[in-house]
Amino acid sequence: MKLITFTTGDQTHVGAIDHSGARAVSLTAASKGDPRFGSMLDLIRAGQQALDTAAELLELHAVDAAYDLDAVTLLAPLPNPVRLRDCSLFIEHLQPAFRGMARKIAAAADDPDAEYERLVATGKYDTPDVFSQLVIYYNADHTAVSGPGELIVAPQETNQLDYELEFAAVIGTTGKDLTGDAARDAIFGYTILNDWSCRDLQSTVMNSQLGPSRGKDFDGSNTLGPCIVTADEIGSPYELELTARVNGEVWSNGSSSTMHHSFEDAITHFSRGRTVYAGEVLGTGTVLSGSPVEIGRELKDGDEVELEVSGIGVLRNRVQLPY
Amino acid sequence: MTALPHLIQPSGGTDSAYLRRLLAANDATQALQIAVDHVVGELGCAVSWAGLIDGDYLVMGAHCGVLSTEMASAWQLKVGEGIGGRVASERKPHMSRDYRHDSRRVPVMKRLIDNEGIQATLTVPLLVGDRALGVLYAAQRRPYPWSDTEQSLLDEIGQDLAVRLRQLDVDGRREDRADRAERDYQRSIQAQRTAAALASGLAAQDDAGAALDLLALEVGALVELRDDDGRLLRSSGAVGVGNPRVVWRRDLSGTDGLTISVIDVRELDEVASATVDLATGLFRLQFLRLGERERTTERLSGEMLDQLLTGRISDSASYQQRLRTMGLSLDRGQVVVVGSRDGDQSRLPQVSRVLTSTFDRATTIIRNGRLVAVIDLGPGGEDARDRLEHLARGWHGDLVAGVGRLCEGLADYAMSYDQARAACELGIRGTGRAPVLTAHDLGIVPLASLPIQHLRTMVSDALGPLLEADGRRGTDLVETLRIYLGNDRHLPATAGALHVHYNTVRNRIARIEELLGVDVRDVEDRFRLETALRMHALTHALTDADEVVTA
Repeated sequence: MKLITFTTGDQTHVGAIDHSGARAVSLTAASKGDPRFGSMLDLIRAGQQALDTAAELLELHAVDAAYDLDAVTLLAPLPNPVRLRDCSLFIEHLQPAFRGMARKIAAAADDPDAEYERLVATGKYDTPDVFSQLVIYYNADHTAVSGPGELIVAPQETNQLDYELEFAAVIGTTGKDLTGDAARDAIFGYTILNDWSCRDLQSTVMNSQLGPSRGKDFDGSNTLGPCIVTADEIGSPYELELTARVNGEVWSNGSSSTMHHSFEDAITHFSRGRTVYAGEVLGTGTVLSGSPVEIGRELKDGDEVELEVSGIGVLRNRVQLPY
Repeated sequence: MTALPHLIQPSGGTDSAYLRRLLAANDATQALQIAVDHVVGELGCAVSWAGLIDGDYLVMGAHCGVLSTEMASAWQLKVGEGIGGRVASERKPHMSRDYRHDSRRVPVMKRLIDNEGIQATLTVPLLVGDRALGVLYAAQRRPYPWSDTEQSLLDEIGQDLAVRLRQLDVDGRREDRADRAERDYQRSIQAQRTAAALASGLAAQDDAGAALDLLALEVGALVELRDDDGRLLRSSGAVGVGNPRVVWRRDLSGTDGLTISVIDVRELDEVASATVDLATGLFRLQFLRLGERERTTERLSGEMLDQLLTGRISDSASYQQRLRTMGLSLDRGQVVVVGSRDGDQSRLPQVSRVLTSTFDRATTIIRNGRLVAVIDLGPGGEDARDRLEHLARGWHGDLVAGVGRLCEGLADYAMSYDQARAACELGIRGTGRAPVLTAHDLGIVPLASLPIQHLRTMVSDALGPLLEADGRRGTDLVETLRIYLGNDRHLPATAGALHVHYNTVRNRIARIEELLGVDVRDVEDRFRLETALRMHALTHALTDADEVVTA
């Protein structure tokens, strides 16, 4: 099932896209107010039985519970994740991203090439071994979530906003010490994640070695959507094609087959002696070439960025830049 | 009970009597009734009914052998749901030998069917081409092993029925087609009218951006015009409720990278798409036409130039948009004023041509007997002074160019104009000897933008007694002071320049010191006097220049 959160007028619905792909079926309306379909978080927490009911409602709903997908406003499918960790499951992208940031910083120097060489020689722009040894993550701002079609307004103080091409697993189980099948079964579904990043701010604050913080936590900086595809429907999450387009031109292209760590690895690691919660979101981190900084390009004000992940859909946003 | 093979005709299964009856049916209900009666008769089954598609639902069309009134009145199925609904949507027959154990039954119809005691069904779609008009059922009230022959027979009865239903236009398709053709025709006429209105509306517009306003109005979407750097030059319209996306985007060739985008919550249909194509094409033509006109005559209209040079731009965002639709930015620029020392204005048009060919984006105008040029230097463009000095080598000393400050925004141009004008006017009157002068060269930067009344008051405060004495007694004390200070207080040089005796200069200076209460050996006093003298020269120059205009 492709699960969505959408609005019609003042009403917010949890729903699913029907088999035609053109209709949004409101589970909230079709279930006549069943509290399990009050929000996506309620549905996730209600578990498999609620998903089975959702599948039935998708088949047998009343006519007035369905809307043309074009006539509704899709929100982030899970607008209020209980936690949002962005992980480094892809690690190939880190080296070009670090080097790209060094190149950008060096550009301001009198001799950019010499400055770039100097910065690289410091070793601060290499990928540390720990990224391949452990599942590294940072806690993204789970209150700064935006959805499909929302205008992404970059903070006034930035001069370099980037998209990041990622997808994410939504956790469906609350538990500890989840390993093997339990780790796999803990995944509720998958969605696309755009981890918007202000590279210049990020470069500055990361000197503190306390994470990207201000570079990635402005309003709407984590876009999720357009739907959550349930784990049973996605097939293998490690055979997905990822593409980013800017104004229709392909800028980034990759595959989830290049992930260094799996979601199951991440869940095993995160739940070891600690609780993971239903409604958490785990981002993959950026696929190789999945961000303008890696490919030497820059977004312009008004650009439309589309992230497409096969089997999930297209997540589309425009940017408003202060520069 | 099994099928009765002897009743099935080898040619196809439907007998001619059935076909005659179908042809005689006056409406869909009659045709459906004839068919279900025929099914019961031919297949020897207990029940038959037919559902017709009405919108998203199958509704009861006719029945034979049905016992309960509820079944006759309440049976309906959503297309795509339940057994009949799927037969209709998938357009494939379905056979159920024991209906009670078929998982595809819809709960809501289950009770109706069970009340009828139906236990086995054959269901075929009523197809015309690839379109289903409904479904036809044969049913038994006990588990029953349908044969392939029975299924073929039902299939053929259904095919004949479907053909007759189409002839009777049961789904209103003929009417639909006619309606659609009429709607398409009306939309096409409307689109042509829109095109004509757009074209004639734009022909009368001097503002190329108006095409965007009309376009936004026509398609009911947000339309944006952006430059090569993504900078928003103009937007019009609004996005409706939903998830906005760019539904149309084009780079406009020949416009230095302008892009038009249409942002809407749903894709454009063919007519809207054609309207957008047309309107943007017209916009581009309009843009190029205006651009060409600006290039060949003047790039900024008189009103816009006045606003720029006087600093009275009320809405700078709108002003910027208009500039950009003319291909100008003025993010970095300079004002130059050129005048002739001997008052001959005949060479100014030629100088104008030289300036516009030297500076790719210069706007020139003759104003108050002077040539005023607003030069758009472009991002990172260099100060125009060097190139002006190069040009001035051919001026033979009779022309003077005053160059204003470099401008980094619209608000700077008024000051740049004041400085250029002041430098030019003073240059014409002999202050400074070079053909290209700036306010900085002449030491009048802080003075150039002061209103002339303020200048007069300040001159009067500083030099009032001298001016009064000169006016009353016909003396030349102000000129003496100017030449004395201009010659670094050198008495013989001053005397030479004034054609008077050395002692006369000495006496005049003493008289000046007495009248003004100053000491010319004091550097502070000298600074005040130098400044006042420049102000004095400026008031004269600007007053004379304005008189030229009034005359």
